[in-house]
Amino acid sequence: MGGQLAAVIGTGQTHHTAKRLDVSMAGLCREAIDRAMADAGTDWADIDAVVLGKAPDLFEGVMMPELFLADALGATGKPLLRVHTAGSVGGSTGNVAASLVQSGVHRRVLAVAFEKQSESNAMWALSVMPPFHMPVGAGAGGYFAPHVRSYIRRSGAPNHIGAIVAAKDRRNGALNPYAHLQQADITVESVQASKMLWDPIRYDETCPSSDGAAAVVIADEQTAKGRPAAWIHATAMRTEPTTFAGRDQVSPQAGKDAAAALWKQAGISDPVSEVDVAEIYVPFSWFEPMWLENLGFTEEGQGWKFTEAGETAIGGRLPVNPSGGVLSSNPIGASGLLRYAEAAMQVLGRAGDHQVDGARVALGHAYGGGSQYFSLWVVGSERPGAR
Amino acid sequence: MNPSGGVLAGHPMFAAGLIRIGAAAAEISAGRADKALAHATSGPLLQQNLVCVLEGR
Amino acid sequence: MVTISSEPLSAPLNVGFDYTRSLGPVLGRFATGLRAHTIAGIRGSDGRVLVPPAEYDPVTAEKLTEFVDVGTEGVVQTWSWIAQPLAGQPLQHPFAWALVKLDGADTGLLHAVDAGSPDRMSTGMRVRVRWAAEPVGSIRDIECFEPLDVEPTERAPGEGDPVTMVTTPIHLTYQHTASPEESRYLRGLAEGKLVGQRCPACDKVYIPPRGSCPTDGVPTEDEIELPDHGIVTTFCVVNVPFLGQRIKPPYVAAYILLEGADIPFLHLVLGCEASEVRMGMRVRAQWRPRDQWGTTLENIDHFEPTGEPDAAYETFSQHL
Repeated sequence: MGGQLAAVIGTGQTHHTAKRLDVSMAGLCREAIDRAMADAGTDWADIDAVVLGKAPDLFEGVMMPELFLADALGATGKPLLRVHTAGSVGGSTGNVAASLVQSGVHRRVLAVAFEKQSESNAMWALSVMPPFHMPVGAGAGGYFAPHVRSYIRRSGAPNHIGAIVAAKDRRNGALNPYAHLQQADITVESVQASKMLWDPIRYDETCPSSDGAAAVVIADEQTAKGRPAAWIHATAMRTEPTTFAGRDQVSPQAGKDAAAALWKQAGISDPVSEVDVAEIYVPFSWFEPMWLENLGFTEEGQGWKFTEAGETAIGGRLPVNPSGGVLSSNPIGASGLLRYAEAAMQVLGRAGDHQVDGARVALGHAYGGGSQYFSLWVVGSERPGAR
Repeated sequence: MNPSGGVLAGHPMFAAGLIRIGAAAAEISAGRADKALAHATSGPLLQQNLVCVLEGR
Repeated sequence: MVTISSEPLSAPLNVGFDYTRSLGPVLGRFATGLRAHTIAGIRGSDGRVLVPPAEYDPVTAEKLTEFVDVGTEGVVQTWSWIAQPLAGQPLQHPFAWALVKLDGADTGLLHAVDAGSPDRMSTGMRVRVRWAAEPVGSIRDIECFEPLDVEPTERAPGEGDPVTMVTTPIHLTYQHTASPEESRYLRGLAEGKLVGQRCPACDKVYIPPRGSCPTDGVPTEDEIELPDHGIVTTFCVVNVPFLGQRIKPPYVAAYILLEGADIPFLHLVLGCEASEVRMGMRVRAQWRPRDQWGTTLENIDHFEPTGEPDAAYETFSQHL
């Protein structure tokens, strides 16, 4: 981590939905940017650099979209950097933007991430099969479902845990006006009655396909002091190969290493008692208990018990995804930055109806690829070291 | 200018900018230059540009 | 085994999709105008008229809203002759790419000029739009530009609801090349053999072989022929149909760990109900008829249960 302090001084996002046919990609990004700039009380002249994140170019069929979006991103004449780490890219975008301030290179950086899934079909884009291979791939769900099955077998979790997570996140989403899915009446039983897509993952345990964008303004200490700010206490990123002999696909080492580095940097020794709220990348419901363990919130094999006990609901010991999370909105490239922005909104006290009372320390988390990229940050209502 | 032969002599497109920086650094490492400039550019209109200056100490 | 060639195998990989672009208010107006044979520009913060219209000001980044219709004739600012047009370009005979500053505009529009020969192209020459035969509301409603001394082509404008979307077909044509080690493995498959490699440092057996160990970073050369039977480590049942799918759902996509291998690969399990597939189930390859074999893992049609007792969880838990 760089020597300088950095803080989020504004966040913005779109109303996520299946098809935003009334705007271009540029217009979509600008909705989030304009809200973040207004939230931060900044103008274009204040922005020194822009970082853009989005997932594979095949999703929109635009190579290097940062170039044609430069006007909309206000990047003319400024450093513009594109980040790409698959589904975790929104998180990585936040980390890269933070590093530009922490290193003292820039004072105020705009981080933007988006996906306009309606321009193509992500299931198709993630299932392109090169020659010589057995064409059994079936999108992200097909990739992750076997590993969810492994988690269930390894932990001995009962089958309804996934449904508990899905019902909880969707009900949280109904408290968030920006969430794609608004399902206040969903129940564990209705989730369990939904169609089995990639056994053991059911339809209601699966993220939607969304158009949407997110933006945050990250500023240096001089800019942030004396105004509402979510101080960045720690950032971490780790990567590992998609496959190697003996790889733990359920709880990857890269995720454990990223978490260990994060907690150390943030001065957190007991995450479950020191973190007030967590926005964790959960595109399929079972990943909540899986990541709770991987992040060190619980012992291995115990994550599902924490979920089952209701501890991850708003009002529990560690509310997870009060925004509704990826299960309620999934503009893929933006989803990680949304986790980061929602964490900041919580410690800023600006989360509206899904605000966790007294949230002072929050985690933002994203993962991508075949669970091989991990991006994390911890933000707090007070400066690092002030606790 | 471009003692390496530059992009006109070899153009692995998205590596070409980093190769310029490496080539500039190599000139300094080899003692042939004290200060070297490297440039990278991208986009259909070459609208994205990076310039860096390296110096031997 | 040493008789197998290491020459890399390659094969075409074609990827294509008809992308659906939503245009938004500015580009939507531009596309709607083109269909009606008008060209919309937009005024920037510095007073310049930008064509095509920019959604956001290139100087101030502010949203732009003041549309200005410009002329359908203009001046060539610069040009480049294309002697051999590529598929998908506006004209399929030699033409010039040119920046055309339309009358009333302050910026150049990039488009094709159908001049016949480069001798007839010059910077500063005047050109006019040749409209497309069937306007749909896209930049291709301008078929191209042409010199003023060419006889104008009569073309009728189109009409209809405002244009909000365009479809953009994109096709990528790759030649996919396998590594030398993977090529040996694929040629082995063509002979009905399953060829892996063992890492000299960690002793792990990889199939397909990679030529180096991802854990130890050392070259792997020691080849091992593996049997065509093993176990299912974990799996999912794919019930969902999707674009481009090559196997009809529902099907069981399973990680198969061959006996003697240290890493599983994904394949299909048939020969029993999907609900009967289990972690640890022992399976054997069902090969396609030999005359259908090629250099592909698809030579194995699927894996089937052998009926032997399942492997104990502890024997494969480290492969999950």
